[in-house]
Amino acid sequence: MACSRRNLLIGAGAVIFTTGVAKVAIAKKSLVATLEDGGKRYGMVFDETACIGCTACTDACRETNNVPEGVSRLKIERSAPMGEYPDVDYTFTRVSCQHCDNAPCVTVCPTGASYVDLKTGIVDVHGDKCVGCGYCLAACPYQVRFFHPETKSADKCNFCRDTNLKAGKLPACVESCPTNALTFGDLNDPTSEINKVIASNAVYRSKVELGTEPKLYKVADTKGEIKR
Amino acid sequence: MNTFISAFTFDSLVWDWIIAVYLFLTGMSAGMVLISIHLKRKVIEGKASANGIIKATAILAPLGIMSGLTILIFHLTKPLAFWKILVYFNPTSVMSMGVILFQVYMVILFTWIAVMFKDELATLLQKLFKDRLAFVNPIVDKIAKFENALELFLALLAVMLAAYTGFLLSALKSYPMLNNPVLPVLFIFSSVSSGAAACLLLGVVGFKESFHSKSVKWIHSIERPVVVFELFVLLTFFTGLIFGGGQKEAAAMAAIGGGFWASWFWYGVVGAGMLVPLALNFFVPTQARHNKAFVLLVTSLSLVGVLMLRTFILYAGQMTVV
Amino acid sequence: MGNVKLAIRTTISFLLFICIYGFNFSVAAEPSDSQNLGANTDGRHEVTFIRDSDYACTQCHKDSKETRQGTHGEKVVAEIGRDLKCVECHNSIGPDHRENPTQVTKFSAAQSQIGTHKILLDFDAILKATGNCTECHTSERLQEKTWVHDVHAKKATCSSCHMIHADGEKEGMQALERKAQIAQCVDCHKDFNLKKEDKGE
Repeated sequence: MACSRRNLLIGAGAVIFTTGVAKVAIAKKSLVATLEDGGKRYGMVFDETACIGCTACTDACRETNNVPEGVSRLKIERSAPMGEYPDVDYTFTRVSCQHCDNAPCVTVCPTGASYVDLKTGIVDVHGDKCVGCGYCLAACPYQVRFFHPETKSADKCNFCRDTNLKAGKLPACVESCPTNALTFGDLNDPTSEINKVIASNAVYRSKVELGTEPKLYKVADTKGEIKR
Repeated sequence: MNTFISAFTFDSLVWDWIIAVYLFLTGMSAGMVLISIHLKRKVIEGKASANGIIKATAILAPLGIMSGLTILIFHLTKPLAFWKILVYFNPTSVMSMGVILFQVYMVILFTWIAVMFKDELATLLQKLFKDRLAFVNPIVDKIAKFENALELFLALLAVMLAAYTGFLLSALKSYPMLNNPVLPVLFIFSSVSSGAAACLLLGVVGFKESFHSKSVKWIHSIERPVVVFELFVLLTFFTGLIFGGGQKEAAAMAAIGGGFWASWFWYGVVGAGMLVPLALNFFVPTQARHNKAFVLLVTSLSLVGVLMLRTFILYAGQMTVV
Repeated sequence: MGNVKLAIRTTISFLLFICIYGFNFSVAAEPSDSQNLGANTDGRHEVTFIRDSDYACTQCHKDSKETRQGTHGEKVVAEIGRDLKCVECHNSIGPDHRENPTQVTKFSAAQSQIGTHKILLDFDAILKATGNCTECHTSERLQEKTWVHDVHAKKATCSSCHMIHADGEKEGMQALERKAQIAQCVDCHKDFNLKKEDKGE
């Protein structure tokens, strides 16, 4: 070998240096960041005690965002009946995108189609970049992503980012709820309504142990066990 | 029939059997390349391109990778947009890094094959294109000077590729059975095992490599340890899941505790794919073993076993959500 | 000669046996032309209704019988074998109900109306009002149909959401599309919210 020890050390050092710097430089641009400094972080609180399971939110979402039948951005799941007639009761859970600050779907997307909108904290999809590999569908621990039957891209709730929010309104589900079970707002704003609701209720988020930092909070129902 | 259908279609399933086939083909290709590189460097005497195993690898390794990637392209919901995955990348995505790895691997693989078969290549080019593509030959000769570095790099890439499919699945937090540190190790061993089986199958049965050649003897010498290691890694894999408790334990029990996939695993993957070839290699006398039909049987069982393993991991892994 | 005698004797007794046997059958198989009510096959005088209790009601409430047939018509007859009578639900009529209708069982009192000024009866009153309905429309069957029945069991009467005197195919909850049905939930529950806000909760 015509390589002296000195040359080897210099060469190795150069390789380590360049890969390290390159990694950091790329990482800053594409790693998901928690945006606690500046900018909005939109979140939502779902009040299980107020939800009556009417699914008006699901219908409003479908209409506002043109979601075809057969798939859904938002589901309300009903529990098993609790109690005996005439005191039978149910609890309802909302299943929809949690808009994680550390979203696994963003981490795994090979083209960067799945991304966090840094201005609002909303996790969205660049439809034109999505090739439909399905990695994000598999990676989401909340199982809320699906392939849109028409655009063939990955799709999910995006807090009505391109529909209602764009028009200055609240998301369709929030507007349509008859019992005001949904509160939407900026988690970074200490005076916002959502922070007031969080501060004055016992709230929980699902699967926090995975480190996804979800932004969909739930006010726990007073009956039955909290199922995270 | 109902259990069969419900075993292959359930709510939490995202990636289906096409991905399992792709995982198998990738693993087989990487395994074949690893074995062939070792054979070329340490075992074969004389011209590598004359060896049946090397010939088998030269055909199956690129073919396996290319067909795997092709079926993957058609599995996309937007197949015509596949070029975007080659152009856009995301360093936090295992899939994105794997795509880059694939591209480099293919280039190096074809280069290495060209260097090994440079004489045959020259003859072929002369026959097909007369002197028009003759400029290729000096290029290949120049690259041939770096054959050593090329081989080492390719070996590294093959190891990374064999592990890559394991890392791809283990990045999925949503499935506790897949989100497992042992998975890439399992996949490396099964890649080598399927690679060895494919080498023997095509090399001995197809290219008529002698049973007594050093290459075949070497592959036989690693077959048994690889399968034993594979069994141990499987044991570690499931023990780790069961010890993990909670959803991990639930996932493990749902997978191998009973039902369609448990039968698939115990009878197919472990029984037919690992134990039967092991037993056949152990108990059948040497004379009977040096028989094309025997090699065909044992290697086919091995290959089917690895395919069944990948399918099992993929489907049973997606049954339980975190 | 003896055999012939035996043969004739056997034939005659066999024939006699068959006649008696067959005759018994024919007697038993006589179809009784009794009606569903008061069928008696022992030959006593059959009692028939000579007064239609609905006649008195429909003299004033002219089309109520037809409108009721819209929801409780042929299917009910098939199920219980007879038609429903007005007094089965609107009982305790009393002699003065034309002047003083407070005695007649009315269902509108227990109904939830849309609007913030809701009359919310207590649970026992509601259960009493729906008692008639739940004799046939049992809680198990209601739960099978939809879970919504469960949660409103003592909070709303049947007539709050369903129209009884109506053509069930065209009017009322069952005729609505899912979206319109949900609109009903929204309308009523929205008012509860406004009511809460009025109270300052």
